[in-house]
Amino acid sequence: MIVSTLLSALATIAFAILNQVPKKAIIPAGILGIVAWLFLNGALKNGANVIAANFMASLAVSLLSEVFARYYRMPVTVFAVPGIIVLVPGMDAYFAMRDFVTHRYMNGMSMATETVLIAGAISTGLVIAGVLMRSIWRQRKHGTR
Amino acid sequence: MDEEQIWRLCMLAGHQLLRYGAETSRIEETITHFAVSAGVKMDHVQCFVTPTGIFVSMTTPAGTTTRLERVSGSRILDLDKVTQINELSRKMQRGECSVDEALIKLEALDHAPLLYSRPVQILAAALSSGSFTIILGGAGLDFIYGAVGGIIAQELTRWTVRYVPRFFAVLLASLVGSLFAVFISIVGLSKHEGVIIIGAILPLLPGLAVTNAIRDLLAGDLLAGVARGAEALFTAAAIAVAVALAISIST
Repeated sequence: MIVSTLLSALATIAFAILNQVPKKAIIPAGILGIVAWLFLNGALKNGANVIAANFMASLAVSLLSEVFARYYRMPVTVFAVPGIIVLVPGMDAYFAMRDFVTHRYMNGMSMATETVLIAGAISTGLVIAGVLMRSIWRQRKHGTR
Repeated sequence: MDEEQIWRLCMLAGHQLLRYGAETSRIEETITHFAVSAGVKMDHVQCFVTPTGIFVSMTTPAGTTTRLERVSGSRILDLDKVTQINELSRKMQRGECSVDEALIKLEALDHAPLLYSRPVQILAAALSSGSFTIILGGAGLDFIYGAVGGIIAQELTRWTVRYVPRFFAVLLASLVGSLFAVFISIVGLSKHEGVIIIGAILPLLPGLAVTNAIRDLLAGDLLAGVARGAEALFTAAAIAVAVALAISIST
């Protein structure tokens, strides 16, 4: 568990470097990787549905990315893009493709559907965080509503 | 106020932001900020940015002019440069930097070396792919195989993206990366073929395109959002097809 948490930080940082993020953003990216991993596995261990778990992890990462973006005065994408990479349902997609290739179409369809739903859950997390921060930010800027 | 300089500044900033992978609303805002800080009235600047072109219209005492710039060619994802251009526009808004100075800085950015050198990037590709293989359930030596697969996929993308659109480059790279993993498992070095495949190609996934598509749609830039969403879907489909092709050889 500790090893995989540290590895998810390492994977996130390395992915951030591949996207050429500013040097100041590297440590926050690692933190986001750990947050994503802990939220995902914490939710799964407590019996959450895999789709709900991905949603919660994505929401946590997206909100934290918005906060980091304001704090470091950098675009949100600098943090959100590496932050969600740990959540990407790569193995589900692989199993779906393997089932399709071996003519087990029903199994493949169910795996593929789950992959799409997880991807949707991750996007929803990003959307909700974006909407929340947008409304808070507007409020502060204009003072009203 | 030298109008030609303002035009050059706005178009160059827009062009660069688009190529380095910024969100559409950020590009439009930055162009407007540059123009306003240079002395154009706020409601006299209009711009419309799509993933392949920039339209800017400005009204000055000399009259209204609209210019269009076609942006094509490969995208170089570089969030550090996006951040730098962002900072520059803030600096100019505060009046700490003139149009000419900003223009010189932007032009220098085009030729500036990447923040992370080639060896660092190869190391990063290896570490990220290697780590993913272990996170996803691989063991021991799978880290090395994943890392090698990741380097192959990453370097191949970097090379082919110069000649073809990104999703064709990713198709080719993930095919070769997956074939490498299939080879490793056929030879008998590892039983975790799937883990190595996914570890190697995970860094190729269109994370930036998806995030940008969502943020564009949220900001109301429907055209750009849909176009980028389509780009992300094409890329994901290309990777899926490449993996399917590679696995079908092994079964």
